Amino acid sequence: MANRPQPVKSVWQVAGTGALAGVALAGTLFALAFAAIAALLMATQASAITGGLSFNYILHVTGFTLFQALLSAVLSLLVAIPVALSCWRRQRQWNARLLVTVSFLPFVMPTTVAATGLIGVWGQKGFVSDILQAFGMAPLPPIYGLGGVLLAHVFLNAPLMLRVLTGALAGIPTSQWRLSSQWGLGPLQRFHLIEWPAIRRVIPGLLALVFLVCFTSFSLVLMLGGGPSVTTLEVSIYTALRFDFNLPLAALLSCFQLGICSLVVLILAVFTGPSWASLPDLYRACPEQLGDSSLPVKSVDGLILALFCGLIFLPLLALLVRGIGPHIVSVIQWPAFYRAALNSIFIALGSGFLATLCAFTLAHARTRLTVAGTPVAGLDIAVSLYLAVSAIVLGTGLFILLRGIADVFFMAPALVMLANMLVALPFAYRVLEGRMAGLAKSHDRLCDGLGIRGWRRLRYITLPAMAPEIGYASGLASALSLGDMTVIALFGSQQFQTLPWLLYQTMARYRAGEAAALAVILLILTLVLFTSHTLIARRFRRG
Amino acid sequence: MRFLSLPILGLSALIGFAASALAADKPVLTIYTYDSFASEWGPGPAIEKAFEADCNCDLNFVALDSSIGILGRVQLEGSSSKADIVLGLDTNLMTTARDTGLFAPHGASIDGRTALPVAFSDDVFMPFDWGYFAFIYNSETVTGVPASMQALIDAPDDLRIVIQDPRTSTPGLGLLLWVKSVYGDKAPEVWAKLAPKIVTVTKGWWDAYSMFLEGEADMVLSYSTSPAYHIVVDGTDKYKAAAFDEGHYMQVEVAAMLKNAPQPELAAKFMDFILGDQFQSIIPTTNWMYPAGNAALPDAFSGLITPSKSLLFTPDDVAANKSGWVAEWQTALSQ
Repeated sequence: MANRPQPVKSVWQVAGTGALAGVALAGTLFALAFAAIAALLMATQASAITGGLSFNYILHVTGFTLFQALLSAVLSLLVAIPVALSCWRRQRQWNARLLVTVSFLPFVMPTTVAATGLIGVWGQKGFVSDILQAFGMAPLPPIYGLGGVLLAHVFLNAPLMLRVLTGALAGIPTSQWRLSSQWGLGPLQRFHLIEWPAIRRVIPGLLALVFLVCFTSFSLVLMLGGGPSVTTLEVSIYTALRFDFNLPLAALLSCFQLGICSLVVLILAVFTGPSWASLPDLYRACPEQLGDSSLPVKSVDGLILALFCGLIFLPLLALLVRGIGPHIVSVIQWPAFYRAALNSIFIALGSGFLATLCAFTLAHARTRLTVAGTPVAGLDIAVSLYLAVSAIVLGTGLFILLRGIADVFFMAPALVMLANMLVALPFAYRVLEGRMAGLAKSHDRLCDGLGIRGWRRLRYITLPAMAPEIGYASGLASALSLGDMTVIALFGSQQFQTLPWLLYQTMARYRAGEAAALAVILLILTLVLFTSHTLIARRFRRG
Repeated sequence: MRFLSLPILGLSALIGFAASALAADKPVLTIYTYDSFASEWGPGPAIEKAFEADCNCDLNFVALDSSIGILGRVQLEGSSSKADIVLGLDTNLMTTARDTGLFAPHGASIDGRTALPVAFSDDVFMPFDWGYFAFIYNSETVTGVPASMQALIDAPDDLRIVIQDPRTSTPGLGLLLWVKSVYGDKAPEVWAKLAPKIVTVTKGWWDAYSMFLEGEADMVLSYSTSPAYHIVVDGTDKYKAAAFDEGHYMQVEVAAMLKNAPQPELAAKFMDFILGDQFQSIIPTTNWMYPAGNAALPDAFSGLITPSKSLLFTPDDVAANKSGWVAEWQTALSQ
């Protein structure tokens, strides 16, 4: 094969060596996940592999999990689309811009904390019931059940969708808006002709991402589900692994879960358009459209934004009300607090950087391979893999693989950073990939013509142009890692604590006040970390 | 470059920690325990200080996420484990733990040194504290508190309770065994009757307890000693445990030393230390459980309920039936 003449350029010659790095990285991701699962499969003597679970039960749980996850994803989308349109119309208002920027906060909080916030608003003694009772009405009925789970999933995921959708709207060329205002299109026609075609392309990918998040949801589903009939496959995996210590069963269930998730990602990938998320460029010139300043449109927008603000910020406000008080003073005097905060920031910055680097490499490979005309579904799946394989399976598998080689406790910081990086990767990847694909279209011919390629193109063209996306991706990845409670539960110890781990410990010792105070500190720290990323990125922005 | 200073600071802190761990020349006794035992507010720090006072050693608690997590970890590590002792298993896990063959007899005496309401004697597992499971309520807001399990089952459906999942939480499993020990084969019917009163079934103890504190439920499954925390730390006695006529199910927490303990002499010394006064007197107001030994109880414990009957399955019974009973529970509640 090697000495056969090659009349046409190979894929790699077209795509470049950078793409090779991305493909190698994707291969590593696949290998790591399967090595971890295989380690579990072969870890113990073959015990009764079915454990206490019947096949019918697994089918039933899978069916319910699918139903719940799809419904959550669709509902989040139905909430996010009108809000995105309103935000886009009101882009000159600071409050709409702020909403797009900080509404991701609930998503990166530890789920127990987010759920506490929700209960503070929608619970029996929450804001809403208080107000109802003040007017002499009955309090809200309990939210537990499928409804509670859906509410929580919309609360967590709709902001993520909002971010991506406004990004898609920002990608609409100014010329189209100009045409639209010349033709005098009304809001409905505009949606049909301009906005919908733009957001349609990002919807399948968004649904896939949120579907994965909801499919593997665990403690939130149990907490708000109301009973064991509202459950997910993830609960069964956890039970097999921890309660029954049946590692092969846990591995099999993980493969099953992985199969279903991959199938859904693949099906949705068929519908995905060429462009993905990009940062909402809210300062981009968009001529004011007909009717935007009319009273009906204005009031509808105001109402939509107010309702969405209520959905997102009231639970956060509930957390603040509980947490701000004398406990904050006592919490910040703990020596353990400083160690944990330092560790948290260190891990968050590290995994944010790594996730962005990997996401950039993978996104680059995806863009180049798409230009070279090669299918890229393999890359997409490699990235989503770590949303579909539960952290506890991955962690236990890694533990088995590493235990012979090194001291796991000594390596804990590195492992936590690595695992957090893997979890944040799909989000960072989605943010970078869309913008990069857009840039390739507009920059490729120009750069080729000028002979700018390789390192120089990266340094002087690509990086400055992508600075806002890079800042957002690394900010989001860092924030996700800062709020992580899953991975740290596997590798944390008294010697290596993070803030969520400390939060968990205060909870395990009845300390509700301190836990609430820690939650507030975590919230503020997340916001500061995220904002500093985007601010630094803005300084490098060009083009 | 100022933003780089944080990672560098973190890195140097890590290196500093690694160096201090390597530099210690005293023998290190490693104990795996659950996180809250080792935390600042748990018994860990005081016990460490007391034991180190005359062992010429360095006691190192390694905190894992739960008691089932401790067993899983030593099983994964097998004979290469660095742990000398595991502390924080309970009687429900004893048979499973014994069957792994990883643990060694402790060689310390138990007889006459314990103050448990049931007879306990074992050459491998050493009890260190115990408690009763109980439903906690707020006496200022809840009236008509059921005086028995039967009364709870027959209570109107607007009495809302919040419990934990037996697959993920120790109290959750405790309630399952409690119902089973009172009702036997009728347990599924009992669960079906309880179902409308159950607000939700949470993953962990705190998820349920915090929901109760937020007013989402009238009663929460916890320990009979929970009110003591609120008396000592919050200065309020409004939270009370409901005493049930049928008796209360118990949890006995145990420790065991590993067969391949790197420091067997120190481990044996610690196993003997467990039932001593120093260890036992630290337990009540840090772990909020009853001491397994004969230590004096603080005042806050004197007002707690004293169940007429203590219920406890043998470890073998639990190991043999746990999975089946959980499946039964799941079916009954999913109707």
